[in-house]
Amino acid sequence: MTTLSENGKIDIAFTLNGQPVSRATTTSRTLSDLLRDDMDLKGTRVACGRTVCGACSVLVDGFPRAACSTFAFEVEGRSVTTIEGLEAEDGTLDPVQAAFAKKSAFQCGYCTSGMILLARALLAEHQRPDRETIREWISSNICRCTGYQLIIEAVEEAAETMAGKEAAE
Amino acid sequence: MFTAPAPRGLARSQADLPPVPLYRPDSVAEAIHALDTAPAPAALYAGGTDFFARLREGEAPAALVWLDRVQDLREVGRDDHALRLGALVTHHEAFRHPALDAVPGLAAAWRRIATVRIRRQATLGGNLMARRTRYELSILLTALGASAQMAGADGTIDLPVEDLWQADTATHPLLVSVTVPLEGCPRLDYERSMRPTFTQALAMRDGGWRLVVATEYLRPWAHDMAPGTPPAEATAALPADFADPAVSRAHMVRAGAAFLKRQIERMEAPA
Amino acid sequence: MNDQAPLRVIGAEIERSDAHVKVTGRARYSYDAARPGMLHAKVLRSTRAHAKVLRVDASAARAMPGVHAVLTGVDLADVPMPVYGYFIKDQPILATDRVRYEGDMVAAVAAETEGQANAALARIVVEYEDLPALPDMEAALAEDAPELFEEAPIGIVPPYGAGSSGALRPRRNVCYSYAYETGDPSVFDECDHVFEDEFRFSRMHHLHLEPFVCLAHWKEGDEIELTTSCQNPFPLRKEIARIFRVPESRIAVHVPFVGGGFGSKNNCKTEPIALMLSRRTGRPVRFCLTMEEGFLTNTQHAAILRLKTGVMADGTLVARQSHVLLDSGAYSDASPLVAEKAGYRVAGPYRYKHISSVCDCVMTNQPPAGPFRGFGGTQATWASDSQIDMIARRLGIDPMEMRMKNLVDLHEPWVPGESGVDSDMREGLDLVAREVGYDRPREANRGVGLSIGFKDGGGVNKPAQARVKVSTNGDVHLMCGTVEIGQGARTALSQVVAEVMDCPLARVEYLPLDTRYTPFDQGTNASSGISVMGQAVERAARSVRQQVLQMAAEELGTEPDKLRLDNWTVIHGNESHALAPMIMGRYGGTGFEFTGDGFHKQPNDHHAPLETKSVFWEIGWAGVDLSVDPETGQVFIHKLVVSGDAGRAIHKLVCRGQDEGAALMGLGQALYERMIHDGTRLVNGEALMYRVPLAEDLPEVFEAITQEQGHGPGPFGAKGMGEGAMLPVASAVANAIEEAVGVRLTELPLTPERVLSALVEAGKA
Repeated sequence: MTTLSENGKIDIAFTLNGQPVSRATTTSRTLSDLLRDDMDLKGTRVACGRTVCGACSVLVDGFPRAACSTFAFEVEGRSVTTIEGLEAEDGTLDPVQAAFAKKSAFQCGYCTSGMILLARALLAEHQRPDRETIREWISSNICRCTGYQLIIEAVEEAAETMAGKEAAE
Repeated sequence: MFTAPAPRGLARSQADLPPVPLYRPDSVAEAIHALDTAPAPAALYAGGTDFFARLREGEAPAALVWLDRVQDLREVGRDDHALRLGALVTHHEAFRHPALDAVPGLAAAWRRIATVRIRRQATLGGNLMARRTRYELSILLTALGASAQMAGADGTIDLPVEDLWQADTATHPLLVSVTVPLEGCPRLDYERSMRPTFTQALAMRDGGWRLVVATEYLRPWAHDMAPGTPPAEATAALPADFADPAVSRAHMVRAGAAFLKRQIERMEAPA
Repeated sequence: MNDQAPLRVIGAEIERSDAHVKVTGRARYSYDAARPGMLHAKVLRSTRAHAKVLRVDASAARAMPGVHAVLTGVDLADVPMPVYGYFIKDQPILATDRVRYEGDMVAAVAAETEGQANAALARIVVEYEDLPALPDMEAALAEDAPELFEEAPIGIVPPYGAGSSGALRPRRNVCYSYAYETGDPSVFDECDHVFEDEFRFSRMHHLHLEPFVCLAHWKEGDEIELTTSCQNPFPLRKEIARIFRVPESRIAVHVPFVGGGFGSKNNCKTEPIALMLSRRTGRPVRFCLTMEEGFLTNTQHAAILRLKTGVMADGTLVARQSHVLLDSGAYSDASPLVAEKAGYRVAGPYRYKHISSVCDCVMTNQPPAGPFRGFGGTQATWASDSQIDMIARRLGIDPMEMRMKNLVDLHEPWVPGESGVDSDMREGLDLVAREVGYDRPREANRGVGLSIGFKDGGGVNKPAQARVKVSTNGDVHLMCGTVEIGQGARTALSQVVAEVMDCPLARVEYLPLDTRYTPFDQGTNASSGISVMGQAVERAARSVRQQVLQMAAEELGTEPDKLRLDNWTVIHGNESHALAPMIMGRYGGTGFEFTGDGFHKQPNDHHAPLETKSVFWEIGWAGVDLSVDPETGQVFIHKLVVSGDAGRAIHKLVCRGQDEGAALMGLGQALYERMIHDGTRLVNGEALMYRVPLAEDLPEVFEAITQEQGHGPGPFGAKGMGEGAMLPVASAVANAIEEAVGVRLTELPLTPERVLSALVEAGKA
């Protein structure tokens, strides 16, 4: 057995948006607090606090996870992607971000970071998802504003863009 | 019977957990040892989907025992007699596992629980041990007559899954696995189109059927019956106080019978 | 500018101006606001529904680590007027002698961390003496019910116009009553039929994702700085000034992006407690509620609506009387305003000779109810347009035909003294009926229902001011108080400016909202962003444009009407003149700033029932095609078609998104979404148990059609959007259920249990 911490203090190292990072933190620190308060990455939004709404979703090893309900120590050695990590260095938007912008697939924007990351993971697993698959995945997160239809259309649009890019390469 | 949740502060959040000692056992025995020796109360931590909800509802652990390295809890397997599912198996891993073919209908039912995102995170153990009526594995596993293997300092005991709701698990706090007996070739059908009110599971095996009805607020009610029992007769056996503020008993008796009839038809239809 | 010219920016396929910051996570909300040295506030909430507070002992809490201040009811003695509310000031900042619902705020702590604040709260001892609880309106209106407010709180009745009246505390546990009457009630005697029906409306929570949150700083010298997730910063400022007796000029309210509100984020919520704690400690205080607390902070109004409608045998509507009861909960919040609207709107979009309506706000021991998208119109439409359908079917008339026969005409005043209806409602109904397949033959147990939601739009007596500034090189600053809460106001209002100024949208910057510098606005509500503020913004932009052209005309020796603008150049015949050098030539090398102000308010008019004519009419049409499973009572939505009339769509996708979002909220309300109580205790007050629509709940086919009928009062013919499509969904579903299986449901939500019970009762199951 490993005692990771006797006193509640813990050091962690992980990959954040492609860069190695390490931090001294505590065993009770959530990933969302670590990202938002300790690393000033405020694009991760916190809402329900119970994993239900998905607004705080970040990608851990490529799959969305509610950062409000993940301990910071859990990402030790793993790769975390937040909304801040999607743009290219020159500021070019990820195809999912671009599609959300083009389709106005957001209103208040509070669910948007989580939705975009969720869609990103969906498109990593399904290059050309059908509408049913998109609905099932998007049902993971709550959007109270849009009625979801424009989000679904944005995911379809992003899938097309990405497929087009791949064909061109 | 429905009982309203106790009044509570409601202002609690993740921030209420102070830094606590953290242990990462590699085996069931180490996990039990950690629970015994850590500052009390120590909490088991796995998927994390329910843990934080409990924290918000008032649970205040003094130590965390993080189970992710306990490989024994991840095993899934079957033999001629039983299907065994480790407590750390996520919904996503479970419904895709070929061993589930041993119980036709189980994988299809399991795959509809929760959401794509939660299915990869939430575990069998968390779903059962949360003892939260909204969670659904207890319904499926109760229908299948499954038992829970609970580990403690003096070894492991077997408890029927349906008893986990009220069992005192203090001496055997760690769910290791759940075993579904395969005698009589069990099959399952789960009807959940009535959410967010009630759902019902029907398990058939040679010689006996078992119906389980549960609501968002009521623990699963299990009813054993002879094959061929008329659906209306089965649901009429619902206890008199089986109702909550969102759904009446009368409706579950009536609509439940209609669903049950369809479930029987589905299960008896030639594949 | 030539209004006939095709528009460049209005209606163009362009990204929302907040798209980039929102898809990249750069958008900042009040939730993100932080300051060095900031403390965190938390409150202790009542576990009793109705009780006397005998004693609050907070001494142990004061000694807890990290605690800087503890407040209980006795500390309100320091506050000049420690109660708030819209028309009625009945909600204390903290409970003093009494708690009135489970969740009422009893004590508050400011500590270094939220965890420390909660730990301290756990040490506070409160001694209660229970009083009889009033869980619902029936209990509150009972003869022997205790009075929830023994003494009358301070309240006002605003001036009303022809036929309208209001009254404070007309009877036991009714805090406000609104009444409207027009025409002669004796016309009931002429009617061939008079139908009386009762409807019930369940309550939802807004479930805005960004919580109620603020960051308050009471600085030395009584200067207040407040960042808050709020829909009406100026009325909030006024309320804070009144509560604490501080000049409004010393209060700065900042509102960054708001992560959803749907009505809930009006007026005082977190702010007074945070300010008290900040004054006490001299530190900035952040007060963020959990979502669980949000459920107990503001909700929609549950309602009972009784309608009596007189009609001729041919389906001509003659008279309608109504009595609406709104469950206002423990404190009045915006209830009197919601009552005005529910009472006024319950007649619906039809022509009557006589209307008489009363709406009472009933106080109960439930969380305070307040504004919710639709603002009384949702409750009103549910009853009103259900009953129209019922009457048509009772008379053997096609419900669509009956609606067509009775709809108020385009440009016809809705009621005497009102403005003319600015949509052709028949055109909209026809469109939706066609799209949903109203005339198609139907299978067994399948039905199509139609409904029209109708509300006055743009608020009552609502002033809006705006300012547009253009700097020397053509950078445009738009300053106005409309909060960007998701509705796209930043984009749409900036588009109006870009259109008027003939510049690209990207040149228009929507400046951050700060009540010290932003021109006054009454609030982001009532679908008033484009219809009211839009007019103010357009005027401001036109004023600037005129000043620029006047200056250029003087410089060029011509008349302003001989000139036009094109992206900060002036076009004069075939010549084009850059403006920047011209401005520097005239005003000096540092240049100049042109400033234009705009104002809009519907004129006061005592002939109009609400004292001003409605700015515009917000209409939502819905058609639902569904099947009912007669064995289980389940309803399957095959197709939901909704439509709103944008007048002119400033941004087409924004309009579509408003209608789709509103319609899905309406569908959740129709079928399942509700706050569930066991007596006075909320049992589903968190995200897991409180079910809101998810993507998987979308109907098989879901269409939102934006009409552009062109009759709106806003810029370029625009009307408001955002609430209309929510209104008619529940009644359309109930109407379709009756068509499918011949039973009528009058209580929301339309659960399978209610459908099946009705079928059983009718001998159909």
